[in-house]
Amino acid sequence: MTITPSRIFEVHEAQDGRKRRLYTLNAVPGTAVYGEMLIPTPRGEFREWNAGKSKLASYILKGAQGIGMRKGSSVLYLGCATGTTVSHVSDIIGEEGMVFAVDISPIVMRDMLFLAEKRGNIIPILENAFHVDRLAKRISAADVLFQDVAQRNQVEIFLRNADLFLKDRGYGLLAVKARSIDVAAKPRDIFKAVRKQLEAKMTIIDYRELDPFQKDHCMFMVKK
Amino acid sequence: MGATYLLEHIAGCFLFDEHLALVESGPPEGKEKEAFLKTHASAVPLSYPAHAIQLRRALAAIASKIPKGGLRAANLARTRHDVKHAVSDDFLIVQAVKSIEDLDKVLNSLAIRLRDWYEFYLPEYSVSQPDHAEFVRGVVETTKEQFLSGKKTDSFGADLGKPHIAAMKQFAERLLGLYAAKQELERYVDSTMKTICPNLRAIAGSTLGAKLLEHAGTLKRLVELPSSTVQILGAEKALFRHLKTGSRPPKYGVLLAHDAVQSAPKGRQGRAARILADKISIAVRIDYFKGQFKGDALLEEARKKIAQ
Repeated sequence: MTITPSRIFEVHEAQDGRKRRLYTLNAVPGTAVYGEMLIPTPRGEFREWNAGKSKLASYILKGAQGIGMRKGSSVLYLGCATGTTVSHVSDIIGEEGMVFAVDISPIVMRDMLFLAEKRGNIIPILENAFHVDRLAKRISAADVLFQDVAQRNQVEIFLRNADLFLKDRGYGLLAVKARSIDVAAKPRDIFKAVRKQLEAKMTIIDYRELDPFQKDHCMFMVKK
Repeated sequence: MGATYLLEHIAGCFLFDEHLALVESGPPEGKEKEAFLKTHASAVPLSYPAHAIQLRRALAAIASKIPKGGLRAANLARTRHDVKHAVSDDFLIVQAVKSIEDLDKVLNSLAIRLRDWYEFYLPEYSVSQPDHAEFVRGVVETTKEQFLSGKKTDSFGADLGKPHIAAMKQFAERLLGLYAAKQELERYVDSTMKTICPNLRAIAGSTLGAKLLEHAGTLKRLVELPSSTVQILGAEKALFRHLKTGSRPPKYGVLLAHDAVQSAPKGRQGRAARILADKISIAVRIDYFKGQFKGDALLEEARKKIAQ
């Protein structure tokens, strides 16, 4: 199994039988964040990026052309939870970049704090992502907006934040969980409705459903 | 002066001219900040949504100006503070209730295990004592001879050597300790409920009240729920099955355990749960906003209405 650079900046891949695996270069060698595999190589230590635990990784495995992030990017990450995906974003953007990791739950923020203390490019914020007025006092504009919040009004939250914090020509990634918008409706119908809401304000450049990695989820990529 | 707009940010105070170009920056906090604000009192503080357009440009303007280290340090300190102060009594109650529920599960399977084991030695005792806790106590406190005295027939259990019996007894003693731990937790939940939600405790009882809290997550969320949701808390599985397949909706969740619902005639229990949920919603709102104690009166009202 050889690890080679993928077409996504700073993300590496390897073919393991029929399975494709993703890796990022570990910024804190020797430390795993959520029990993932660490693979030391002469180029540095690679950390496996588990698609079952990360919507961004599933999006890449489903054939994404890019995720808008690269070395030095600033990222606004809404719904960071315990920091599984944030840790890989932190690897991607490197020391020059920074990621604002926002979540509303003090319980998941505990793990996030421990992670942020180890990684100098993570800025943890305990706040409701809907209250952009409060966020405006804590962060600056970002190159990329990533959102995964499982709220009923997740599209409204995304649009508000994109409007205020996303730089011109910045990229936005919205992970939609159909089940948290309406448990009874068909996911496809919900995705269609979301598409309409997004199109009114921004340009959609990519759309992928995330099964089999995540059930009833999809990812929209937009450009401001 | 020239400065028109002001942004109070965790990394400092920023002044912008009418074209939203950064003019000057000041300290983030303390007396220096107050003095800074005083000298620039004429600047308009940027707020959302009134200045959405200006705010967007201001944030873009400072993006490259704020030193990352300072921004991170300030936010890290603030978030540590926020997490520290986010802990409230209802979080603790929920954990205690979950511990009680886990203990219940564990004790049940361990008691069944002890029964299986002890029945090799004295099967008659296990059959005669259906209550798990009492059975475990009996294993510790009585001997085979004590149990059989006055009985006509001998036990058909095996005669085991001392070390085998001692092993069972020691295990049973540990279980008694767990039963005691459960009681201690229940007392703790009861006294905490008394201080933070006396009305809920009066109308639903401390165990049931705490279970409602557990399902809602926090007292605040329980307060924000409509009483129709309170009615079916704990019946989420049935509710989602109803929403997805159109099966019959649930009438009650954890509220079924309440004696006002239990004692209602079959077929009227859903109505009882609805009326009770109604009063519980009122009770938790009184608790949340620290109103006067009205729990007993609410329970009385609910009982009267159910009996009608």
